[in-house]
Amino acid sequence: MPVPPALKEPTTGLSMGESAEKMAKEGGIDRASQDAFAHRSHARAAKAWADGLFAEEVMRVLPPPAYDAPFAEDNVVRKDSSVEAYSRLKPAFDRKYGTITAGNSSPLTDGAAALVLMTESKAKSLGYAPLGYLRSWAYAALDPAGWMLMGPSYATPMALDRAGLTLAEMDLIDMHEAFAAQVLCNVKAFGSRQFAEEKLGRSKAIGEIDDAKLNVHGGSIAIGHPFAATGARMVTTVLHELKRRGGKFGLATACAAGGLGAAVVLEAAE
Amino acid sequence: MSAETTSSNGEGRAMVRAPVTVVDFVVRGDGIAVLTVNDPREPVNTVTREFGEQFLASVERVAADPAIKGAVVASAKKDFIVGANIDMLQAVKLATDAEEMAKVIAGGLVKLAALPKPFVAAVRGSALGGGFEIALACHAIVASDDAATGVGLPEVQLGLLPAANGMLRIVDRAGLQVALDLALTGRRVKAKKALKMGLVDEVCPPSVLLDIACARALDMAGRPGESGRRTRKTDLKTAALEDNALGRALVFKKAREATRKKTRGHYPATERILDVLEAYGGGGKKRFASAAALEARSFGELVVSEQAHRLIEIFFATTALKKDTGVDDASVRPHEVSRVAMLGGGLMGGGIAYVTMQAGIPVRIKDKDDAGVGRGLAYVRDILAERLKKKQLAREELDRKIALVTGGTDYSGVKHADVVIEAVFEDLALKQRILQDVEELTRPDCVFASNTSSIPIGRIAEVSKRPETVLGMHYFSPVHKMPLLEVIATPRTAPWAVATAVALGKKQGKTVIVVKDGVGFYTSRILAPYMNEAAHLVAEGVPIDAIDRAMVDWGYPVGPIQLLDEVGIDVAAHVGEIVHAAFGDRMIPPPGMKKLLLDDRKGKKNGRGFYAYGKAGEAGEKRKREVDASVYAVLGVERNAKAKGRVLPAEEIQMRCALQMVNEALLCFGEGILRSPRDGDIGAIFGLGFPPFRGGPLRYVDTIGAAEVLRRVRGYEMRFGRRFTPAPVLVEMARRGERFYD
Repeated sequence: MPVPPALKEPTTGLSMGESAEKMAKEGGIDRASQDAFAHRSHARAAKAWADGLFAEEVMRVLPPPAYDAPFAEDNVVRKDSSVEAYSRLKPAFDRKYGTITAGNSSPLTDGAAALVLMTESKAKSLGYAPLGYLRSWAYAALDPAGWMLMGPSYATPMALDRAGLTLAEMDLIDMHEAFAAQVLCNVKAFGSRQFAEEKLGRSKAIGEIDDAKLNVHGGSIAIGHPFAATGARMVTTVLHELKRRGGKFGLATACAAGGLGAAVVLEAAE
Repeated sequence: MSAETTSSNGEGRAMVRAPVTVVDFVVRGDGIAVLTVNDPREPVNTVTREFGEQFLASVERVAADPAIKGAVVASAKKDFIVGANIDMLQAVKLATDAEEMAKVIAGGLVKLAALPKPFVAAVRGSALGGGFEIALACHAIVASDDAATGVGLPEVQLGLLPAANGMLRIVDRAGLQVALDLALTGRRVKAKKALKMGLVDEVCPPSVLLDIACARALDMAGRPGESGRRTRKTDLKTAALEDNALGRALVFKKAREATRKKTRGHYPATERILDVLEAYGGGGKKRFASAAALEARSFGELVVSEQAHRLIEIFFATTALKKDTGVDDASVRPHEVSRVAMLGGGLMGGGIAYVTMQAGIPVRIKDKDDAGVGRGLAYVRDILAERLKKKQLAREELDRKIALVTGGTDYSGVKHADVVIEAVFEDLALKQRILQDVEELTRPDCVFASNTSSIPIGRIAEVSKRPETVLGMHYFSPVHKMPLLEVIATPRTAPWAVATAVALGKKQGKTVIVVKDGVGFYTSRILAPYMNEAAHLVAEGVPIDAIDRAMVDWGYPVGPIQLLDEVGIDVAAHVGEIVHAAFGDRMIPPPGMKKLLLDDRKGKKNGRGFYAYGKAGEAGEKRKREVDASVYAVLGVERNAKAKGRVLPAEEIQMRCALQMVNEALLCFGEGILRSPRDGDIGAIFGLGFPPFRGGPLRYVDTIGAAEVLRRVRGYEMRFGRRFTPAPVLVEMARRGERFYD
């Protein structure tokens, strides 16, 4: 098993979990809604695996040195997830007043993902059928000493503007699940006019997130978060799912250390 | 370097006698002369007549010129000096001429070593043989620390000994056992290891090598009286063995025993090396002179010996093969190979993936299931892990290398391959199906190579839409150790495809021969009657161990019956049927062999064969292998317990088996399977272990004479019938008194 690194976010000196604790407390995200969200993530990922939806997206791996025990599936997804089980866990970062637990956070896991980006003409000349198109993208940076993991709420409106689209036009929304509390804070901010006015300087909220479109096959809480691989994984899943449900546009967005946020608007291949 | 340098290029006497300048002489402003060796006629520096004259003249000049304080010997080429010029050695007719040649160089180096002015060798790249001996005669050796730099005395590999007193100087600076090691194995030691062993004095980055060497010479020149020469530092154990006559006697006794066990007396060079070092004993001036005299005389004798001639011929043959594209049309160019797909991750597939990765080419292993893919990946990693353990490889290098090898159970990653090699089960239908799958997927100019050892390539190619891309690449097991690759071309294979396979094989570090398609190609085909003859001997009641011993004594690395056990009796029987069907009664197997398979004897792999095996690889490995006596009863062979079977002179065993291989090689040559006698000899030596000092089956005919070989084959033909029908080529050559080589 890989040894998880001890992570102190370099700009704040807080661990990521401590930043999430701060957001949960200040944003009023209670333990029950975090646990419910974690359960949702696991249940959906488990169902996607069971239905064979990931078969096209995930490569089987033979790990060294013996190469004799193949990994064919994520091994952290709880197939028998129940809400009650989450409530029994102790808080991991603030043992006394905290609500963030190992169960409602993303586990640090080993993994890798890759995407090949090229122009449409190049893909055609090589005989490749594109998975989809990158319609627009945006990066945002915010004060890491504030709510550090709010990146999606800053990057998304920029990406949408650049694409000339609105959140309502997105058929799928995939948000990296660093912590259930972080996702829930961002979901709130997306729908908040006050947040838009005060933090983004915009007169209208980004838009309410339709739960039926959000992280439809679970997210990092269930699947795990291998650094530097999660973004490519999210894009892959969104593009496959758009194709499957005949959708046109998808949003993939993530928060990152240092108070960064990234968002991409994806367009399904014809 | 100072601007005030003077050059003596082409001055005076040297100019008249040597039209080429091989040693450039420059005196630096600080009084250090830099002798730069740079032979304009060759890509590497070798010890030639011109070099000898110019180098020794330069030494005289350093000695005579009071303005010169010391000297550095360096090379302007990639390597330092790689040894004596072998063309020059091969041309020597008389032992006394060779002895004289050795004495001139050695005598000059003795003078150099005795000079009060310091000489420092600046070694970058290989310093081998005479080149290393020149460095050893200098007062200090500074070597570059890059991976390409190394030293060694490879003379023994050509049946010679180092004749410029290098062995003696190694005794002085690094001890007797190091000298024995280097001279008897001929191995090359990398710079850092050489420093540890005491073979060089200092190791530095190549960028500052010349400066460091000059500084060292200047420093030594500034401290006259001190020799500056390295003296041997020894631990107690080494001292106990080397610093007294009794200990040395023990060292030599052991070394002689170990050497004879390996050479079986076929390689006189090893004996002479031991003689010279024994004569030098504990060293000293008086012993140096007598050991040096013995060394020069032995060198003279060895240079004109049959063994040295054969080994030098092999050296030239492999050198020529390195330059050979594998096709006769000089305008044919190989295609670039930047991706290889390996179908089948077994022993052969894993091995081929390894050598391909070593060539720096990404490999994709495909097998039918995870277990198969995993086996292939693990095979590659295990070899690398072993090298990591031996510190031949750094951890990062391992990671970088292993990243070139990936695997899967479908054809993903195969599409863009330039060459696809299959090493799946020996089944024609399976191989044909795989070929069709691959052709669906890959570019029209993707080469499809089969690693079959028994199925004619033409049969596999029958289902191909582009038979010009189909050929055979027959590797030998274990692939990462066996030096030969046999590339098989059908009449429809395009020359560019052959050239591509040959170029890939060379990158994989192989010596490559190209042969025509046919049952057994070349190597498997000539092995078949050889093994078959050994089986006939067993059926006649000749003891199994007597057969193996006779063939090992003749110079094969393992005996034919032990080889049967190793290859697998089932596999050999399968091949036996194929060749019997193809070639008729000439390859008729003896009666009784089938009974072995009925008795579930498959050889080493199931622990039941001609020899007795311990439980799967344990213990049994070390102790001497015993024949499983119960095998005679299974074969229905009468064996007199007291006489231990039929007594047959070793020579008859040797001749019957070896001549079968020779005669089959001649048949192949006559049928145009081989492109040249050279390929036939190299294939038999590198692929099957035909005794190198006999030069290969065709060279052997030249050595013994076609008429004599024919006489012997005919003799056996009269006794054993069609098995020994002489090859038409042999009859023809005997009649005309011809040879294969000029």
